[in-house]
Amino acid sequence: MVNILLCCSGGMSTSILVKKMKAAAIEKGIETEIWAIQMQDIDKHKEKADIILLGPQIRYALGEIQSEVSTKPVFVIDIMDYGTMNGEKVLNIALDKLGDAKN
Amino acid sequence: MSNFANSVEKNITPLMGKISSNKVIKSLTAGMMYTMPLTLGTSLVAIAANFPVTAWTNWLASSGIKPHMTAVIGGTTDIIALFLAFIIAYNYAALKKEDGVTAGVLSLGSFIILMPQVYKIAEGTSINVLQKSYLGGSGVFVSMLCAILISQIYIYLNRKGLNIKLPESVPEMVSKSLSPTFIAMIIFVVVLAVRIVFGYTEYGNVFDFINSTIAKPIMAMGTSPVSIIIIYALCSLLWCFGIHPSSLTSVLMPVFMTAITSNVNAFQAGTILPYLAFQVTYVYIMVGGTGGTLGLAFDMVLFAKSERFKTLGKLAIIPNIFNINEPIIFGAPIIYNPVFMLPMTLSPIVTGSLGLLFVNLGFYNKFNPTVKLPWTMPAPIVHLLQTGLLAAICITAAIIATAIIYYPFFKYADKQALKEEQAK
Repeated sequence: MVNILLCCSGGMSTSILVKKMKAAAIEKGIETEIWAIQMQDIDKHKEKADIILLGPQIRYALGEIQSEVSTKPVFVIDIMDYGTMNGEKVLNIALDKLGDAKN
Repeated sequence: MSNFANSVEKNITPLMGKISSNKVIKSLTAGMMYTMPLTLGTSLVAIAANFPVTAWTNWLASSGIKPHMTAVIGGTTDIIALFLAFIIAYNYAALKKEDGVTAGVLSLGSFIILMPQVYKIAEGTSINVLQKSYLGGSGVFVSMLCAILISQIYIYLNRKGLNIKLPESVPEMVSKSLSPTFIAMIIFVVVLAVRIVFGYTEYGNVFDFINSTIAKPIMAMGTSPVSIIIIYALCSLLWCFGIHPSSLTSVLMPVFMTAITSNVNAFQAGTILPYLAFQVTYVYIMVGGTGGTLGLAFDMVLFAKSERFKTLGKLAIIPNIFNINEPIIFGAPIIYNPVFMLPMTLSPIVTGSLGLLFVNLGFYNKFNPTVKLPWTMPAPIVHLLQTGLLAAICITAAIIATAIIYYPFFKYADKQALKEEQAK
């Protein structure tokens, strides 16, 4: 089970991406739990997540969140992938990063 | 272009990061967020109380129900500073990993202590009352200052170890409840001193002092429709460089809360809304999401010839109708894209000016600030419920204006995209 946490300022646009990522995960046959939250709620959710993805509009907070969540990978979603809500691509990148982190 | 954008990002992004991670700013923003159940939840009653059907409003008045409905707003949005005094202190302490409830309670107590508690109704006769104005628009600035300062003092004293240490055998709940006693004693002596000092000034109390000295110029600057238009045009420009304007706008929060609450207070009292032009201009600036991207989304859906924009239009239009414009901002892209920089900056200027014009023409005289709806509600619906049909038409006109502004730039981008697709 892979737990992917998405985060942006309102939690709304990321929830659209979540839907697409979940669909992509089902197609790939991977068991995942993917959900989106607002930036202020990261504390409550960081334990459960294996990896945290940030919407590009909160990329300025990358440093802060990385220091808060030092044990897990945190990265910013690419602008174009986010804009086109490319769930499959973002899912693949997330899985890749998780694979890297384990090695 | 990308070099410039990169250097802008390198220099400004860390600053934005610092502002948004600042605990004071975070607490103020949380304050606004936690009052939403109160302000949004009372909307239903607010809409019903002022529903523009004469037969209905007459019945409300004659049946005696109206005062009860007014009281619903009167206990919530009207006195929002009261809630802020607790919530902001709570959040600030919680962010610093200290006991939020205690900080909140101390802040709330201090807030009330500092306000006038007696009202002179005639020579030699006073009554014990708390005035709603201080609990509302005239108290917002003080509530924020009070919350942060009291919370900070509490945290400082708590960390210094001024707690009463009780023996192990005493149940934890008992020690916990007595712990803050010493700290509270100190805090209330400080608050007493503040009250005495300000009592000797010409203003008589902290609230009138702050409102007349600090709040007044800030409000004058921050709520002038022209400065708001300029600020948001700048925010749009920043967005084009990839900088989310939320850090900037969160700093403006005290101004917003004060203005909106003061409008509510005035509406409840039946007087002229002091910040009507400000509030209306603001919603016009924000129509369709930052930069008025709804217009661009409509352009895409209606006129796109390239596959790229046809797809993006379909994807982005529904969220944008609900004021969520990240898909289009990142997908067009508007960000880092010189093509859309001009319309993005021009849009809020045009729509803001339209808003100001409509206010001056008197189209928003019936504006009801007690009706608050989630920011995701499409603008025409919001305007219909807050003001009326004319307002809904006006805001729709503003949306059409954004579509017109974006059109030439969109056409250019569409042509480029089509050329690229045909070349493949």
